[in-house]
Amino acid sequence: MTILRNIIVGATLALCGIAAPASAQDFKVIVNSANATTDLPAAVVSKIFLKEAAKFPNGSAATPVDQGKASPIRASFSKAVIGRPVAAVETYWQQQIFSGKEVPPAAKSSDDDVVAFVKANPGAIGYVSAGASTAGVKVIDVK
Amino acid sequence: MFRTTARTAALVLATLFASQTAAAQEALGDRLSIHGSANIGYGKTDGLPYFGMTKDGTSDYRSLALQFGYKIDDKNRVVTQLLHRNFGESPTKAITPVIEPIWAFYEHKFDGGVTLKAGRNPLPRGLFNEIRFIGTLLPFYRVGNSVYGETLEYIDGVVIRKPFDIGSGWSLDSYVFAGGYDLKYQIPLSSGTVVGKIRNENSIGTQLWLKTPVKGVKFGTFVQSYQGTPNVTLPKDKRPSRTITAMYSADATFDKAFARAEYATFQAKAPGYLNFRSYYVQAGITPTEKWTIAGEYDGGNNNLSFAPAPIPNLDLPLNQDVGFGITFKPSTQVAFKFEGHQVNGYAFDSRVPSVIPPTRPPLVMTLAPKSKSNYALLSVAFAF
Repeated sequence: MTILRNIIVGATLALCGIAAPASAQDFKVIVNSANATTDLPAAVVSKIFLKEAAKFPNGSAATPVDQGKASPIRASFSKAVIGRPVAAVETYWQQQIFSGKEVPPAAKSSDDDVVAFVKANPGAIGYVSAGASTAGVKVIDVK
Repeated sequence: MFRTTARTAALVLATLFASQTAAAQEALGDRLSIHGSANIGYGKTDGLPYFGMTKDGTSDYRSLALQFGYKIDDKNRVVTQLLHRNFGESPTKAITPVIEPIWAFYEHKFDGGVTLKAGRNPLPRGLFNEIRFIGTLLPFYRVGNSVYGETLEYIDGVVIRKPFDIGSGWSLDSYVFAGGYDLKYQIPLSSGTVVGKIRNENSIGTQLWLKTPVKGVKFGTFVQSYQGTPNVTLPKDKRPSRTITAMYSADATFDKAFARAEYATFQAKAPGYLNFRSYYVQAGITPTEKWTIAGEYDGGNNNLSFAPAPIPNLDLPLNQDVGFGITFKPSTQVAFKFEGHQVNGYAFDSRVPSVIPPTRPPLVMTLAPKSKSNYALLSVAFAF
């Protein structure tokens, strides 16, 4: 009976795609050094990257910047913060584009490009690999 | 000396020009967005022609969308989407332009999350109205035929959107809209299939989406009231009464499985009485990111009366379409689909028996047996 229950629960979780929480973070989230934000809940970061929220909690405008679709950093970020694989997020963006709602954030091809973008745009928020140099921008905690 | 200075100046100017051009291009690239989709198929029936497909098969079957967006600044943008569609031998070809500007709107974002669109706007109606031709997002070539049909694709007017965070994981996405639109129809009559286009105006309505704390689960309600423009059935100075249409949606979409259902009604009281009800249910599994297996049941009925009491209303069943499909998506931008459907009913591209005339008292007509056709559709979809 217990085995049967475990199978049913396991199958339900698998079908619903309920994922285990991400383990160690191999990315860091950065904002412009003029931004007063020091930490953000993952749910808020997710909303900013999905353009469901246009502002930081402090009221300043937020401009997310992504990494390229094939980037392993994007895969980690997507799973850990947005809670969906990159393919699911791409499908979400197709729905947004073709329903006339939004277009995805600009995507940069390297950590350096993301850092440069965040440095140049006061409202920018991006993510880079854990080992990337973040001189001139601010790393924030994502909980 | 002069030559060296001139060469240096020319080099500096060229570099400056090149860098400015590159900057301008980058700025344009950030502002301009171009997206497109293609949904191309081959369809064949085993008998009656249906939705443009014939017994001989047709590969003249496609919908192509091209979208241009220009971001004026962070709060303002303009978007237009051109659509070309051709569905084999469908009678609706007669009323479908080769290329149609299906959207052309200006959007302004206000502080506080309110968005206003003005122009020819995508109409927020149900789960699929705006993306009904984007094959990479649909489990079948066409979803919920009896619910979505060939109408309410856009609205010429204004659409205002405001999302609300209710708390505890609940949120509400609300739309209100007003304007006019073209209603296309295809009606099978005893004399043959009739297609046409009616302009409806003075339309107002809303679409509400309630998103639950369970990621992927949401419920929707769409309500709209509109008025037909004068047509051949009415004198110029008389307008038909308002028609109320509604749609109710439920959607549960997870990583590995989905189930959704939508129910739509149209109720008009003049010149006769018409209550059109339709629905579909759809479910599927996505065992891997690349594969989807889905099933769908689509149907409804028409309850109508064009005669005064005591002649009873007439219940006409709509087509019932049972379909199964398999999709292979090597990437999110490409989808290959194969689907098979069985259609039972009275609405095909050619005339089928719908009623049996009475031959002896009581002189009551009865419904003819339903006609049946099976069809298969192989399609490929791209989006970028």
